[in-house]
Amino acid sequence: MANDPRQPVRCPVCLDSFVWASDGSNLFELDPDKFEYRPIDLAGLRDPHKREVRLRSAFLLCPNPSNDVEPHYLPVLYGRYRKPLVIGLVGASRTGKTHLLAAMMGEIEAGGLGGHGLTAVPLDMIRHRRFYRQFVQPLYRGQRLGFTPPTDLPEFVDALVVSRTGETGGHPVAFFDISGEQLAKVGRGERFLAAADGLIFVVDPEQALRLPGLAEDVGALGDLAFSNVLDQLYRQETLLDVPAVIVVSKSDRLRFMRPADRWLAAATPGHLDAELIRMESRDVYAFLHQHGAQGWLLPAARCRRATLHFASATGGRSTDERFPRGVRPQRVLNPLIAMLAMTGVIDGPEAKEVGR
Amino acid sequence: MSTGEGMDWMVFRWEQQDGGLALRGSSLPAGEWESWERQLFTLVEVQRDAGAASRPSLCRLMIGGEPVALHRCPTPDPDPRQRIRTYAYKGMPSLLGAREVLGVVDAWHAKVPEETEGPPLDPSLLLRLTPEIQQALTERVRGAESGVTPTALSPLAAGLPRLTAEVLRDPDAMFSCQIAPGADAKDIMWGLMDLLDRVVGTTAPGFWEFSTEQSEDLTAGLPRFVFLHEWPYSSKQSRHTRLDLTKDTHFAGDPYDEAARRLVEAYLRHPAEVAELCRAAGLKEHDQDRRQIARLLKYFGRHPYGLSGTRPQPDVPVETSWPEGHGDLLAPREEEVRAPDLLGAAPSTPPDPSFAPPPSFARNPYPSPGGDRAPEAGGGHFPDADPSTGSMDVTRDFNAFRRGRAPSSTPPRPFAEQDGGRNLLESPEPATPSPQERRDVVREPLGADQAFMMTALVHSLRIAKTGEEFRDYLAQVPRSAEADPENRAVLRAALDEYGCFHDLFRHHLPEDDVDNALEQVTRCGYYAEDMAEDDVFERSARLAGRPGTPSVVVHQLMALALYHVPQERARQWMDFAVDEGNRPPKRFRPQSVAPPAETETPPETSSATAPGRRRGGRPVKPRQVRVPRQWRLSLEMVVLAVLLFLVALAVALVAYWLVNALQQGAVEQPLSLRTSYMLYVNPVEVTGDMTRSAV
Repeated sequence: MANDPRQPVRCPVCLDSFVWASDGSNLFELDPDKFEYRPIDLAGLRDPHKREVRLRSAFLLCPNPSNDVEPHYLPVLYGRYRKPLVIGLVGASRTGKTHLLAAMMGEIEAGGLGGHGLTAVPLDMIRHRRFYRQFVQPLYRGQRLGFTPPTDLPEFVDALVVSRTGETGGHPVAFFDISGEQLAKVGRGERFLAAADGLIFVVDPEQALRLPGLAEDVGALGDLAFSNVLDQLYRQETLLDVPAVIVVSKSDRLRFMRPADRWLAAATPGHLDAELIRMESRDVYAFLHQHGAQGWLLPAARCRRATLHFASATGGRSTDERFPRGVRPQRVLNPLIAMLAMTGVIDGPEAKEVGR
Repeated sequence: MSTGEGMDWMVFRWEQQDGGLALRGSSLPAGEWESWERQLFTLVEVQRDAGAASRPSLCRLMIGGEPVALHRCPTPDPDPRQRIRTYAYKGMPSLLGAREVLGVVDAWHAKVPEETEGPPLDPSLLLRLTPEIQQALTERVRGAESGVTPTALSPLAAGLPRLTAEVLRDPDAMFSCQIAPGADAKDIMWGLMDLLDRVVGTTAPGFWEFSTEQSEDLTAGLPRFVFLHEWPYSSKQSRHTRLDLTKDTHFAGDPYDEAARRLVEAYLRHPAEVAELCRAAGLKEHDQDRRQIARLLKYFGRHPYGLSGTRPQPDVPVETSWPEGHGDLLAPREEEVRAPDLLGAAPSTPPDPSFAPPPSFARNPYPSPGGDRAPEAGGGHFPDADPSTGSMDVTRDFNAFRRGRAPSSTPPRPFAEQDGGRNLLESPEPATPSPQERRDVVREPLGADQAFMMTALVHSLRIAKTGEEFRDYLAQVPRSAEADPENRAVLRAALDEYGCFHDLFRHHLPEDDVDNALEQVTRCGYYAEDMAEDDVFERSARLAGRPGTPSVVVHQLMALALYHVPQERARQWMDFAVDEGNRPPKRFRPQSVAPPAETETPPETSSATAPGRRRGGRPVKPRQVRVPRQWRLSLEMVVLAVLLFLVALAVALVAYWLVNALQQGAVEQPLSLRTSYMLYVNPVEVTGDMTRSAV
């Protein structure tokens, strides 16, 4: 079912809401050589099938009613489906956000959502392929991903249309991956938060846990990026309505410790199990609390719905910029499944219980 | 705010315990750290692909009206975050000029203390930009070895001519340049300043802002010139003009391309020649960019380089306005401004066949001194010209093309072709001139500006009687060569056959124009796209390597081979040329500067090989001796006269014999004949005799 045309859509770039409509004059396509937008005219295209094919790769010039951002373009499909979702990854520098997102996309590409009755297709083919080529492929070939530098223009790095298998329509889901340095500074890069529908907080055990063999100088105040982002979202309500997922990344470092070992070894069920997610969240919460990482539990305290997970994007440590034993992502899709359940992409009575 | 005592420095590093990447040390007061960190934060490091090596890079930009230099100097640490080390300098504008930043700033970090705080750097301890360093960098860009004049720019500066042309075209634009893997942005930038720092940016100290490596061109506040290896994919449109310098694109007839090419050639001969050129063009030390560029283009127009520039103006006065009823034909047309409807069937108005713009200006990129009366002249070529007076065809179309941000292929065709010319939809092939048109080539040299068969043109060139006529035919060569690859093939064959027309040029053209003409004709025959064909590739090498080929042709062909073919093929090209040079010298077909007879066959059909000479391993028949037509005419008349004389002689002899025989009665004549004869000889006697017979 297509999105209600009267329902305004919020642009994730300028944050303005506007009615998703086009008279044809604001449609553009991308020059694949120079990645520059140029107008297209679909008025003469009478055949609905051909029109649909062209629209699939077309872009809409955002009207930006506030007129405070330079011209920008969104995939036409972004507003043609159900309510789009913006999911941001939050965490300090070197917590593994990019690795986690690349592993998620790799698992999705490998059909990992199929077991949950979900289908995901790229919203923007060029962007998706580019992300795949720059991040997913190198990671799965055993290369360590590079540094994400700060930028003045945070925007989604990849987007998918996630729908239930067999149903028409779906939700566009856009992912933001922003430099940790930027999130830790006030007034830089957190603009996208106003459009965020869900946040994935990434905890690096090496930076958060007081454990032998991990980082020696562990701060007790938590991640500055977490508090910065949550403070930005504060709107007088005690609890925020933005669903939060806390992911202990690099959990392969904890594979000999209870309860991480048990969860890493556990098989993922082929259906949504709210009770299982609650149990894992309980264990992660206790684990972080037990090892002095209370500061990293802030999202669980501030958000109305939150889940906690163990995950490892690579399954092992890197040596000299490579993962010598290959990359074996573990449980990277579980946080995303929980997020999709909390944001309504997956519905049903079981989904309503997730994160509560 | 600068401390004013020396060069202020800042060091950016990544540290795990304190928020990652941040300003870690500086000579600035602690109160200014946050402000500078905020301003430089997004420039400190660039995004690299996984596994990509970090490279040092330089950046110069103006912040608050003062220059700031960044030197990204990665450490050898295997961790990409730990590798980050960026130095920033500010506070002494005289030491932070664009050339200084490119030339010496990357040596200053050795003087920066390791401590978090420290005094500003003492300027006397910093490496200064000496003439030797400047010369070394210039020679690096020119690809010059000691004592040898280079023939082509260094591969490190690949794309420099294109960038130069684009800066001349739009000096206010910002440029995002994608460079080839082997090229070095530092060299391109240095070469660009060598070529243009007397032309543009003379009034703006912040003009030469650059970043030799950047991962995106979307952020506000980026330098004017940014170099990257891949354009980012983003929801936003870059404010920079994106230039793909990995492709050496040229636009035929584009004055900016031509100007850039001439600047580069002067630079290759000697760097000082660029300054001489600018001085000769009347460029001022400080003046508005567009005025300076206009002066430069005007100078090139007045001192023509190519054939188009030498073309004489017609004696007939040129119309000062377009014919009425056609509106402003130079104004951007609707279909040019609007986005192209790729699938729509938009009706188009057929061109009025009765109208054709003045032909001789249709593709002339330079205004002539006497051409101010032309509708597209009057400074219309130049960027600062009043647009209401009309704009130059090629320039205008090119600008419209850029505004439309269409893919960079070729600029729109000039109006001469679009409106007044043939209907391209009828046939994709260029119109072949009819026999009448071919004759018109000879009869009417200033005919419509259209493509002619090269065979006819070559032939016309060879029979041209005057220099003016010769130049007119010559001016049609570029257009005809561009219109049809087959024409270029014919021209290549003709260049081979006639020794590049060297003798003809020397006979018909002023000495100064001969080299230019040779070069232009060579360019017409050898397009970059043609070099992909093996036979053209080999033919160009063999022509260049052949003894007796004019040096300017060799230079042109060599530049073509070095610029437009892969490196491994360039070596092959040299092998062909050397091989040709070792062969016994080829005897060119004699080029009689006197007009040859009209019966002579065009070059592609003629067999001009000397008798007994082998071509392609097959024996060639000895050439038949042909007699010129007018000579043949005279001979026939002589023969006819002799024949007539002989016939008359024979008749006279027969008559004489008959008379004698009749008089002697040796021949029994029939009565009638005898009577006739007797009447003729002695009518009285005959009459009496007849009377007697009757009685």
